[in-house]
Amino acid sequence: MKHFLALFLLVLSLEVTAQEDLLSLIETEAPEKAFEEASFKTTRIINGHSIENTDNGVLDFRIRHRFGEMNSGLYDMFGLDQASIRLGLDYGVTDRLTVGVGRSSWEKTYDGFLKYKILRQTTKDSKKNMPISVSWISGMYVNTLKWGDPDRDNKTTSRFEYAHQLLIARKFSEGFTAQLTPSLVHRNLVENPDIANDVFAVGAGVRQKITNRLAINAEYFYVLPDQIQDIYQNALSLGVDIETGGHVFQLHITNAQAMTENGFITQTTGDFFDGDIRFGFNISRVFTVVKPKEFRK
Amino acid sequence: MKYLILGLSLWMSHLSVGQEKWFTRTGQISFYSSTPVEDIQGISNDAGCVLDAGSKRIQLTVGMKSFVFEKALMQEHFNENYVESHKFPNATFKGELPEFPESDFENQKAFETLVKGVLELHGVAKEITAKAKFAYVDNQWVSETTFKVKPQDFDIEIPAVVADKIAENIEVRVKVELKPLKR
Repeated sequence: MKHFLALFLLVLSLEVTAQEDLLSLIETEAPEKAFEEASFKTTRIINGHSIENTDNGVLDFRIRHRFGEMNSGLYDMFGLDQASIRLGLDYGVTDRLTVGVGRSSWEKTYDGFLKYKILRQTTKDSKKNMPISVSWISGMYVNTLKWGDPDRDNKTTSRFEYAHQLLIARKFSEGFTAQLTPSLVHRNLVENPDIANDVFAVGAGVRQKITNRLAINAEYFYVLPDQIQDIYQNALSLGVDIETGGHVFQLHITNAQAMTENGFITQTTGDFFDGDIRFGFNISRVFTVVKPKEFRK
Repeated sequence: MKYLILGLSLWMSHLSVGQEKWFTRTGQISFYSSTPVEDIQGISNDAGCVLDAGSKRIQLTVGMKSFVFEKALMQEHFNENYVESHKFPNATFKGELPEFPESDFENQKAFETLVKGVLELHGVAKEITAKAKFAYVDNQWVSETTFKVKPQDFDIEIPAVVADKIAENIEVRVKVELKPLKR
């Protein structure tokens, strides 16, 4: 009995030693704020902006390409003979503010934008709770085509168009994110006096991850009725994001030719369900301009 | 009777020692992957560590999201694609220090000892052994160690496209300055 008790105490002493978790002694409380990351693979869903910002100190070179309409037949190699392109540079001034410039072949457009993240969705272990992320984006677009009628009294301001968008997004789960994008496009010059200069639209986009490096996206911009001519359609796009080391490839089909907001929201001519579908891709290559402080000499 | 006394004294001795504990919440853990194509380095200054002289044990934890990289995209890929931080937010190490002194710390010379323990990373636990240096400086235990890990040992999948950019053996460096833990 004595031996048993001795053994029991011995075992007990070992037991205490083995089970005590030292790390529980320095456990800290949940972080005040922790934010969701990577709601979308990249800063564009397909045509429109996603809630993602270019990271602080990072320069993002973006090549975007839309081929011709697939129903143009074999003569045009199902659209591959034609191409619409936008080359752009985005820079992350801070983690919240991105500036970008670009040049599109569509209407020889130069564009620039400012994108600011107002609210950031928090993770579930964060003390403070914010269910959505919200960004504001304003863009300006300058059409530099030669004047259709040079003899007319052409004003430089007629070349300018603007877009303002609120991006409201929520990452519902690790794989699924949805975004709503109320948008206002202002055109200084429109086709005729019956057409609205200000066009209101609502965009919706979703992302579903298939694997860690592969995701599918869908995006739709709905233009509120009686604002633009009947020949224009709502832009619908479906695509996949493929990620390799420093690149993100986005491959998609869309009925929009333009890649600037003033173009794809208000001037999409193709009818998706009539086969006016274009194959397109976005390629993003990032360069670190300003290193994090841990890596500065 | 003498067995009972022995047992009791062992139990008591366990209670009396083991009060000497040190800790930090700002330990440095960094890792290096070096290949001819690309060097990748992740740095965290947020590692937690507790050392218990009584039971001769040391434990560390680090949040995977606390690692900072030279390129922001590396950080995103590290968390999203490789270590899957949303599923496995922390890496922990629980090890033993059989040669650690029990008392008289002030008069200890710097020494090197083997640390043996279990590293849990990406949901996989694996036994590792590393040589660690210990030195008692200004009421703090300063410890440093370097060891190597293989991503595949921890079920971290590396796709063929980037295989030549990520080293087979990744060097991990740990440095902690442990202050006395008062309860």
